[in-house]
Amino acid sequence: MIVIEIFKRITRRTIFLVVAIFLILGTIFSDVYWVKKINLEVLRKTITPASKQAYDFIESIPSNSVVLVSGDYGPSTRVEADPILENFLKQCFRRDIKVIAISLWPDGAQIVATKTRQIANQYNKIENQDYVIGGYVVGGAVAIEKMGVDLKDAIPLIANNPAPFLRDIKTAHDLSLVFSIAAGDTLVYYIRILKSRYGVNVSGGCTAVMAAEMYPYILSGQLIGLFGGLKGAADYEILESNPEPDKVSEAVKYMLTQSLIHALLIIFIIIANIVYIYDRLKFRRK
Amino acid sequence: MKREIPLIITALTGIIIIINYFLPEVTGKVTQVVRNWVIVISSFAIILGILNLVIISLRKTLEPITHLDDRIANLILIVSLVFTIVIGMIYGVGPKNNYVFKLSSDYSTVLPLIDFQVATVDTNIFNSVIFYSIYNPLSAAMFSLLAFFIASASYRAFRARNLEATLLLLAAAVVILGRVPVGDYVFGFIGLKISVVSEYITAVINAAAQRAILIAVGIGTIIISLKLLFGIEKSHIGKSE
Repeated sequence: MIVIEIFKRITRRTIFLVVAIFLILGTIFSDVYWVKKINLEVLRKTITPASKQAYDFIESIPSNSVVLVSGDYGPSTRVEADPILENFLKQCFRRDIKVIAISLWPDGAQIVATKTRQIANQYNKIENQDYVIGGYVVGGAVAIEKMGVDLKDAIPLIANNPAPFLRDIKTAHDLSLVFSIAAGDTLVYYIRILKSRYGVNVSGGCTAVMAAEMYPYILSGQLIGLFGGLKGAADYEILESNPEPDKVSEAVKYMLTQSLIHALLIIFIIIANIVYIYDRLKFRRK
Repeated sequence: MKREIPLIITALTGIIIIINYFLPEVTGKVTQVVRNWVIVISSFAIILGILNLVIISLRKTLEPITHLDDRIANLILIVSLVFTIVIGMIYGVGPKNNYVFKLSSDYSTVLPLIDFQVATVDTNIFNSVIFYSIYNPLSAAMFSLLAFFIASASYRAFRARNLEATLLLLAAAVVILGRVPVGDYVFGFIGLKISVVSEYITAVINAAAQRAILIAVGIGTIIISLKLLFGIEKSHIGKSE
């Protein structure tokens, strides 16, 4: 019963402190070789079917096709979204797929442009030849609607771009895929407008909290697979690079921190319920 | 007329957009103009929003009744806003790449191999200082607080009070553990693949409920849209006089 009394003394501050300690420990130990090895082993066996579906579709796109990547997220969700964007760009550049990179979020444009240039450099791809940066596209759902009618009208920065692959691109229908990495509603807009109305292939990634909302679209075939949250990002990294433990990047590494926090949540929930059931039984006895 | 004109504009715009869905050849050009208007108006809304924010913050900063902490916070907001706009206008947002020598180490060998590499670094002050060094960490830090609040909230909210709450609790626990390697690692010892159970909950049970919600929201949206088109719903033009 002393244990129950100790549990009862857990306050919000105690929870915050324990979460902070676990976060710090997770971040420190995420770089330890054997931790990364165990992480990788488990992750390799548990690739989400939605992630595999998206990866396989991108793999089936012929070389020299044109895809549009829309990084619709800000700095707050970079940990989850950045690895998805990076691996998507790696897969495209590895397969010689031409990329149009845009963002429907003002603060996402900067991130998308920087990341695209970084990854392109790794694969010796040239700007305005193998890829173009479309910057921030104003208008949200209206801009997506415009893409279905006239892509260059919707993305003014690529209207006069000399990139040879843009010559044959008139509308979103000419794209092999629209890939949206969303921290908001944009992925749903792409599905509802570009897929439903114009028949464009739409795939993407999103934050973990949004992933559950996307399942009806995946099951109906309107969304071709999905990389959901950090787990989706880790899946993508394994599918794309199949790295060795010493070569893993952020997505796989940070799964340890996420694992610890998720385990902690469960422990807190169990403790709270033990206290709750104990109090209820005590009340009934009285 | 003050109320009738906005209602007529709403109805006309809505009808044009609906016709365009079925007959794009007939109303294509008009719809394109309407779409451009939306983008132009939303751009003006940003300016209006900034002005509104500045006026409210200035008022709060100058009002002596406001608490000192709030006055300082509002002053910081105005200064940061003006500073960001000015720096953005002077330096632009495009990359300004400079080649620098970067120290790199290889720790995979017994003795660390240290050598210099040439790397490109974006030296545009807007990108490197304001966006990546100030805005980026601040925004990430604000979002990270969610981990602490979720831990605290789940401790207080997830209680097995009745059958429904218990089912919700169990489903949440399975999904929480199924999304991370530790779940499969721990339950692997008893031969249970918790990620598969988690995937079943998300892809079957959750998807069915989400579908029902989506259809209900869709029907609700159609009803609201029709009410707007026929002028029954007037909340978007403000209160009646």
